[in-house]
Amino acid sequence: MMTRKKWLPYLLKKLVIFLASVLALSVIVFAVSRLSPGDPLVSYYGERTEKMSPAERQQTMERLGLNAPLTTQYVRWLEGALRGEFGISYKYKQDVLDVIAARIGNTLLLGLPGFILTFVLALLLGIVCAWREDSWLDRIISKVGTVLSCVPEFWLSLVLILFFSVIWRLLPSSGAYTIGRENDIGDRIRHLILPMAVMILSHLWYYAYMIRNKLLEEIRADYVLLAKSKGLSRGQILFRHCLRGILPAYISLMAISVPHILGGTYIIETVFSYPGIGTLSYESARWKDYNMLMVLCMLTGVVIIFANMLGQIINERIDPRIRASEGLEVPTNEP
Amino acid sequence: MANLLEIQNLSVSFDTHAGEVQAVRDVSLSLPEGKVLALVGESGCGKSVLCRSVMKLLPRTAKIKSGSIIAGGVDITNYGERDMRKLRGSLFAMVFQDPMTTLNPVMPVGDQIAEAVRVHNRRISKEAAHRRAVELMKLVGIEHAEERSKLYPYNFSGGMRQRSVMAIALASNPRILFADEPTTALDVTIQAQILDLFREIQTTLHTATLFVTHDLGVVARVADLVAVMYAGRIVELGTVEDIFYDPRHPYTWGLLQALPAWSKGRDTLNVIPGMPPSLIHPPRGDAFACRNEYALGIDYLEQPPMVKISETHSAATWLLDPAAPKIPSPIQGGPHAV
Amino acid sequence: MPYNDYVSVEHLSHRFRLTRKIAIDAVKDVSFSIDRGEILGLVGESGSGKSTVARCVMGILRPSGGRVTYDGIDVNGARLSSEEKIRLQCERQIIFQDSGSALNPRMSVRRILSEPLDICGLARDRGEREALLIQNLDFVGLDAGILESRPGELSGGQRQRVSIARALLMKPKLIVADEPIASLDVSIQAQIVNLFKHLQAEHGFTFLFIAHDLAMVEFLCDRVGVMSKGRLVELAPTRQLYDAPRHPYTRALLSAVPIPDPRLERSREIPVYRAPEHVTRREWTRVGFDHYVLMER
Repeated sequence: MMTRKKWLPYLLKKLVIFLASVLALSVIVFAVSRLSPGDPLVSYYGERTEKMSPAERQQTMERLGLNAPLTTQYVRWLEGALRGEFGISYKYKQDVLDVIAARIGNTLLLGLPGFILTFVLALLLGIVCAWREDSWLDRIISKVGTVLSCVPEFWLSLVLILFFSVIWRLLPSSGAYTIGRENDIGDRIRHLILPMAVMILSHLWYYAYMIRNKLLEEIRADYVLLAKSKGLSRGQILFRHCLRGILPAYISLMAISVPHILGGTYIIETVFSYPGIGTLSYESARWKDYNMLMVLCMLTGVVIIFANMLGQIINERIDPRIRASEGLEVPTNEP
Repeated sequence: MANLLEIQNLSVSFDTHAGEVQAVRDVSLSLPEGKVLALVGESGCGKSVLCRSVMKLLPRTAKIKSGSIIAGGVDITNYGERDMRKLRGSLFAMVFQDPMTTLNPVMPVGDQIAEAVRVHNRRISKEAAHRRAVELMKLVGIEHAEERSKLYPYNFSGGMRQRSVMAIALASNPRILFADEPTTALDVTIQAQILDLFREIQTTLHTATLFVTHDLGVVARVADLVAVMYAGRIVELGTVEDIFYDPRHPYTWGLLQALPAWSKGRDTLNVIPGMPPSLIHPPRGDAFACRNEYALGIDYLEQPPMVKISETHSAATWLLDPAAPKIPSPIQGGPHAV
Repeated sequence: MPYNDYVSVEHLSHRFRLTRKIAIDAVKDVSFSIDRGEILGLVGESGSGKSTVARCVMGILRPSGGRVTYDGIDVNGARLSSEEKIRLQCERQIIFQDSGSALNPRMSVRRILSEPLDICGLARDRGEREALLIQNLDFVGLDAGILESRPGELSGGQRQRVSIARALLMKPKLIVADEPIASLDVSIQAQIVNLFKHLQAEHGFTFLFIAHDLAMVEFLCDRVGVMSKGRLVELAPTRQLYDAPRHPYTRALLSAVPIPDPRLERSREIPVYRAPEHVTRREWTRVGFDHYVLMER
């Protein structure tokens, strides 16, 4: 069976792949952001840039290190990054990390519970639909889901704001908290409800539908017939046998969908003027705030790569067949 | 000798896009304790459907149209899912054709057997259930059972998987065992071992077995009683000796003659010409008539009755009618007399 | 006699890599030859490597060791003339086990059959093509009415007949059939085997027949090879192999087939074959006229 010895090289291998991916990502982001048109000085000096003389421009570019060849710039950035220095934000005139640190909490507060809720609700909804295949409940859920998945997130956000904030005045329409009540938890939660609702409502259905179909496929497998002939009830078969069969696929899917949901959060944050990483990313890309953009892209990339690897590792723990194909276990096929 | 299973005039149909498929038509059958009854026929003749309809393992499109099923002395024809669940595993259990797909690939084999042990007796502790699972694995001839109980199905060879499925079937001491082509997916050398295991279990545990197969060689090795099925009906029923040494139905003759052993030293193999009829609109009269070289005029018009030949032997063919011409059986003394 | 060995397989081995660490030797050092117009049967249990041999002979798989030649042409040769390539492609045909998946379900029988004709340019015009189709369907006992059907509408036996017709259309000199009857019903199996025997007598092609049904092989083949765990363990003329098998595995395989006679069948013990564990020497030994056995010590 599984031995400890084989896990160490295995984890090392994963780590190497992880680092290589991150490095490759940094090169691509660096190159793409600098090669795209736009003026980085605008984010630093704002309106004043237009009044600068060519000589002044040249000087400031020199001072910000933007005149050196791309490769030199990249090497400088990499050297700093390895020391943990990512430079200052042109727009905020502060250390990039400080700006992000002030906001990342907000995004995590929105994204993490949103992701987990999507994951769990989709699973439950999928099970219910598979359990009552072709019932009115199954049909209604599928129909509603199809419609809601087609609605763009920003539009759904606006509709919810219209009803809950403008017409019924139940929930705040923007921001993360009411000014002056930073530490009121109730107020924070009230601000989270609408953005999180949009996030879940627009992603839930696709995953629920996938769970439903995978489960139905599993229910039709031969081993279910054997389980049934043992005398197991439908519930026992579904939860003990079928669910175990589909979990690996579901976890992979969720891991791959991290960027999808993350991208959604960025849009939602922008619509709700929610002070998170999403709004920050948008601004930094818009205003060529290079240092900020680099760190945010790297952060997103790392989260995605990490989620994928985690999904894979969890799958290998759950599914014995993957473990065998990875060579972690030697099949003992004797007559 | 008590009959553990009594099927009377059972008809089962499926609803499909093309129409109603009459898979089992008016079948009567009884299975005595401690015997192996083989159901023989070509694919699509309804033998598997008959087997599954007793355990109610058929898809929702299947309906029992008429007849009754009496298992263990109780009429279960109208039993619902909840009642059936109590009987599955405890009164009857089933071994399926392909052991590669009938075991759950992501669950250790020992756990799957232990689960079957605990289904009908929740008071058994997990440890005791596991010990019983290992015992069962030994009973069905799996060596190193303790170690192997922790392995997954993909670690097992075909023969061992089928043995594991047998262990699951035997977990709650069922009195009736259904076996649906249990050796078809296995290699010949493994087949003999599994067949012997069936006989061994039947003699030690006194279970009654309904054994579905298309292979007459397999029948010769395991069966006490044989029912030959064609187009949803039983056409001949008797002891294994009756069927092999004194067959009366032309379809049984055809099946026996089509065995390669009958064609030794000849240029062509004997065949039954044509194909089985569609069961959506089964032909009027005897369904076998159009493939039967001995068919009489009445065969095309009227379904022949089941005629009793001896205490154990009966066949549904007009050839047994007193008014029919006497046709000597082409099967005389078995293939080895040729 | 330059090409007495019409098809010759020399020291063929094939290794499947599953992952970087796990590899399976499906075929190990197999040598045999097939004479022109002969029917050679290859039997063995699942996983014995018989299908892999068939695929190597067809050039579908590139062997990891050894050589396959067809009429003197190296099947995997690097420098083949275009004439040789065309000969290899058109003169060798394969029939697969599962005609349900080997025939494209979206094509009509007409398209399935005419495609190879068009590729090899065997029919000059539409009339000639039509005549060829009908003629070949007739060879396999089907009538022209089937041309517009799709594989899904046919029975297993009819589909396999279509596969055979497709192979025959090319006027092949060598047909390799990989378990062509395994997925068919018993009564249909006999029909197809009769058809093979009849067609071979009529058209005289060389035939490599892969199967696990020993009785059918006995009926159809001139010579039979037995494979076990990737190795060819015995090769002999059919009568000789069935009457006097020499290798313990062949004996076990033959005696494991149940005899359809209850009294006889129940009174006999079926021996269990255990492969010898520490084999140090293997020798391909001639034990009788054209009868070879792999001696293992």
